[in-house]
Amino acid sequence: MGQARFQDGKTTASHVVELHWDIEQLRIVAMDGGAELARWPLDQIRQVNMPGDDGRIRLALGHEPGARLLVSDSLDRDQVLGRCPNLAIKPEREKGWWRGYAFWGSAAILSITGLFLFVIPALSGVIAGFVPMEWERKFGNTAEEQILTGLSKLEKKPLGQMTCSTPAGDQALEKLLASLTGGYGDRSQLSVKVVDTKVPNAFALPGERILILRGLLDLADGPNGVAGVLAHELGHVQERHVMSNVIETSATSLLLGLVLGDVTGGALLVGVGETALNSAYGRDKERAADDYAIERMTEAGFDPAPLGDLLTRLSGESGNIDEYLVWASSHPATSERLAVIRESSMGGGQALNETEWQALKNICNPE
Amino acid sequence: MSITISPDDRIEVNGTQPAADPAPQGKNFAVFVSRAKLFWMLFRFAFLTIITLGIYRFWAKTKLRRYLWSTVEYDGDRFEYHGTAKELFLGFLIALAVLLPLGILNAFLNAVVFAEGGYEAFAFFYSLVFLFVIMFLIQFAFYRMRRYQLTRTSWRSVHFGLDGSAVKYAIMSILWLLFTIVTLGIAYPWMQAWQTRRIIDHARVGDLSFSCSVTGGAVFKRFILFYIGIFVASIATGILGSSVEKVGATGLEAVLRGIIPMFLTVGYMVVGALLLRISIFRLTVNNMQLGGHAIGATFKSAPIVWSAILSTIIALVIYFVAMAGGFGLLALFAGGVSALVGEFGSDPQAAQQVILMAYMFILPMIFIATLFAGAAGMAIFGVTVMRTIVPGISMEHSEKLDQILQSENTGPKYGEGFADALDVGAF
Repeated sequence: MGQARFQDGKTTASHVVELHWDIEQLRIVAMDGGAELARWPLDQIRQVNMPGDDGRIRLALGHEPGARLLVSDSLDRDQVLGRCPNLAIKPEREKGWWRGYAFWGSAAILSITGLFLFVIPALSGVIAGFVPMEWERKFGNTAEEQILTGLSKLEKKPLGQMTCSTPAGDQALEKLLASLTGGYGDRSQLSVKVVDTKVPNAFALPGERILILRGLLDLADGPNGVAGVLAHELGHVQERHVMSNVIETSATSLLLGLVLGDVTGGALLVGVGETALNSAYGRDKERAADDYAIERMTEAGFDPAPLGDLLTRLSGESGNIDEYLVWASSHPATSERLAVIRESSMGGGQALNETEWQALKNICNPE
Repeated sequence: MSITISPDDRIEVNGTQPAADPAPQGKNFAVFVSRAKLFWMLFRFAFLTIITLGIYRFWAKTKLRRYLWSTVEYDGDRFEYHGTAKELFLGFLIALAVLLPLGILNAFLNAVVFAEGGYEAFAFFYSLVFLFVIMFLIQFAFYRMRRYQLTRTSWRSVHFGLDGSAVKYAIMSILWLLFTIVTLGIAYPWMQAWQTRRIIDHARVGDLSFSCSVTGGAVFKRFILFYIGIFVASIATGILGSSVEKVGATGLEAVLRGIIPMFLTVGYMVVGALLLRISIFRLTVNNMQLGGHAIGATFKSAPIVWSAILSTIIALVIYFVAMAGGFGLLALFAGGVSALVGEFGSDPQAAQQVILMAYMFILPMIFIATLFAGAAGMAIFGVTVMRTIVPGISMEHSEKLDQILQSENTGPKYGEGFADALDVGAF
């Protein structure tokens, strides 16, 4: 029957109390006046100490916030530990505790998936369509300059000598373009350049710009593979994929930041998530560009099958060049893609005759 | 090692603060926080939060608050935190479910505005409206966050609370913001004072209300001192920096003359901003009352500033030592592997793969070291802040404080979702 403190959950008074231990219940009696302040059934008494607490045993009736009994006297401590059987029992979950999680969780998941899977890709395409062509061209100019500068450093050649042109080569390229751009519309702004570097790659840039790197020509053993790559890149240009990529990237990083919160390492998570999502978006675009390429090739009467061969070759050809520079690293020769290309092949002719093809292949070696 | 004359302390010595009683009658708050315990909590929580893709942060926040609240004591009794992680998590899910459609709507309207030519005025108007919606949400979320935190706090079994309307607060805040923009920022201290008063005046313990009489003028004075300090530091930097050319200094001397003053100016800006915050906080506390009981603050700024500097340095040192150690280990390992490969003349690609695997092992080590450094810095700083501020706050004591009645209003069901999503508020 030692002293303790009782705070009844109704006022901030801290009553000095005596504890009377009956068989079934604890009677809490004020020292001052002897009034009984509360009766607590022993089996409902819980210990609710906090991690930084002051050493007293903190007791509550049930789990609700409310009255607190603070026990410091060692005799009472022993009574508490000996007589109260359910001190450490966790609160039972209320019936239907999961409903909130289920409802709002699915709403949130629905909202996020809808956003990432449908809204961002769809809207970024739409928005990309409305970006003024002039901005896109400026953007493309800068991008092209940066890529050429980077490659000129790699090749240790002056920037001015990076693009290739021979009269016969240009003619062959123009012929390819003319036959592949049937449904393209106005192509007065379209620019296709061959860049003198051993790296086998091709890019579509914003503002209707395409760069074909010489390494790709070196690897191809016929005009149709190159025509296929060119048609693929034309597909990206036609659908303004690059611009919508830019918009998608900024939208995803914004949203992921929102979902993952601002925590230590949050930036890292955002980065990883972004890469994954963007590569998923990327795959859709590659498929669209492949479809476009096959369509154009078939329409022009060229056999698209060599595109598949070129892809396979590129995948094996990482060799001594940094892998990420190779077309195959962003355009892997997946069996799915190869199958699509193979199945679509209904035969057809060569995109260029042998003379024209040799002229294009040697566009970077003027005699 | 102490900053005895900081700009804000000077004001208080001048006595422009009627409420700043140097030794208020009453009882002081006390804090019993442990640096080691806080460090391990922060470290563990950061780790768990990252490997659960951020989901654990609600549990981390709740546990951290439970600990911190329970280390603070007034009149012999600790504070209790009653919030649960479930409330925070659900609040977050609700915010996601509501905020994202809002974002979609915005993107859609944007696309429309982009799409139709000749609607430039509308586009401008629209982006303005959207900006205001965001501003509104941020202010709204802040008020709701405070309400959640207060209703989940109790002392002697009686809960705190925050009455008043979050919507009204948000609308008024936006009007203040407009006024601040119109006055080119001059009105900002008055806005801050209004926001502080608005919240504290609606806060209560049980049925006993807090009140605050902080004025924009007093806040303004602190801002002015801060700006004067920065101005003087910048001028000094300019003079010292330009002396590089005059003296014709080269090499190390030029670097010292140019960079050190710049470093000092930036340092002053950081330290000055911290001093400003502390000083405004002290001003606010000194102008607070709880049901007529004056609250006073006498804590010093210097320990907090020194701790901020020291904890940053310690965290950086831990981080760089770990980085150097990790990469050193990697270099040693790579050297060993290439030596072996040279000896046995085996495949260089295999060697590359072995080195890559070593990377996979060492990168997590560096990652953990980063968390370690961050947690150490935060624990050092956080504990100093608490140990400096909490015992420096006192409140007049009377029997009334033993007779505060519990209030019926139990507060919101879910917590902080918007605040979390919009990144409002501290931890």
